Amino acid sequence: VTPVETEERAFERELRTRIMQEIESLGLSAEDVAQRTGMLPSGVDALFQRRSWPLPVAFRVARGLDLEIRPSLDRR
Amino acid sequence: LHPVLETGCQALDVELPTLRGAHDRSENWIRDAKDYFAEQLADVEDDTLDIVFLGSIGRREASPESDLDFLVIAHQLIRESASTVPRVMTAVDAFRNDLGLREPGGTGVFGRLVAAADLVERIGLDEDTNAHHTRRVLLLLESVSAFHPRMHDELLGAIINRYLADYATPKDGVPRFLLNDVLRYWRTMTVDYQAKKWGSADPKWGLRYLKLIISRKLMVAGTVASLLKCEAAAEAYFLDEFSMPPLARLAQLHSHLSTERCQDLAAVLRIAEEFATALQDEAFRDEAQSVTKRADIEVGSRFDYFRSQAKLMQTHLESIFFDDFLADRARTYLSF
Repeated sequence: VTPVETEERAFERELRTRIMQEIESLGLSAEDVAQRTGMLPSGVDALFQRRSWPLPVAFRVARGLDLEIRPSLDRR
Repeated sequence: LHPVLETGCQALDVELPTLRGAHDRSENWIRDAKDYFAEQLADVEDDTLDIVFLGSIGRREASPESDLDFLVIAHQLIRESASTVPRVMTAVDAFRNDLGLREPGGTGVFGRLVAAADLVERIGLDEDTNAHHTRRVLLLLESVSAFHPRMHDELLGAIINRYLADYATPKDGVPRFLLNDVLRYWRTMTVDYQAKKWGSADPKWGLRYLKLIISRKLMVAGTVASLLKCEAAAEAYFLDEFSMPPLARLAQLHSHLSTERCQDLAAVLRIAEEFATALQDEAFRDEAQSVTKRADIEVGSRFDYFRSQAKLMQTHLESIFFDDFLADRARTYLSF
């Protein structure tokens, strides 16, 4: 694994953790997230089991839930 | 689980919770895909195109980390192909995005349109390239239609019949042409694995290595089981066998094996389960991906443990194939 890949994965994990914290604080289920993001519930269910999400997926979830991505995370 | 694997697990007293979850996840994604494409591509001309999933979804072993390996298969000339084909590709990509899956790797084997006639007709010689051969064999070994299952069954039937064409049907015993092509696939994969790490460090060597010596070997072992136990080679027999996931093909041997060999089979299934569980643990995947050459393997690490489990699995497979009812055929067909 190259340093760039490691850094990217670490960023994806950080972003995923922040979004999951927000989802938990809002008490949303996989079904709720699917409805708000237009994703498939079976996909969101699998997403919840991953430690990192691809960036496009993370941003899609954040947008769907109207979550603010804090400047410290919005590095790209 | 597939009913055949379920029966095998009960007979062998084996629990496969992770693989059970993977089976359910795969079936859910396949069902979602069928609904999705039926709606999005309702106006695509009938009997022209199919969308087929391969890889872990085809094996019913999808994990949250799985890629979406797919082929779009043209069964005949497509009118307005300039607009239809890109639209189908876009629909598959949108489905992948809606599942939140990563983009597949860039090997060029999957994620493209291929012609059904080529898959049936081009077997052997120069035109049967590495990628073409891989697609054909994986269609037989681990694939599922997400659009038109009837067309998929017809394609698999045509490919099987192509392998059986030179024999009186049903052919008694093992169809050597088909077996040789499956073995060629396995040997090619093992040679290509060496090629990928030659000359420069392969950043994915560790995970690739463990998958080769556990998951991929099991896929081939399950298929070899179907081939070696064959009494009357005919389309219906192989359609039935290839409709099962590879582990089910292997597990079905339980009803023929001695008690001692059943213990070998149970051990193989437990190793498959253990490895499937580890693959869902991102810490393990990171560890495996940090291993880029043999010298990186730390004694006592989980990577080292699974390498040992793979060696153990090899000895169990040798016992199953060479020390029981398949022994004579294994000696005949797996040597020369």
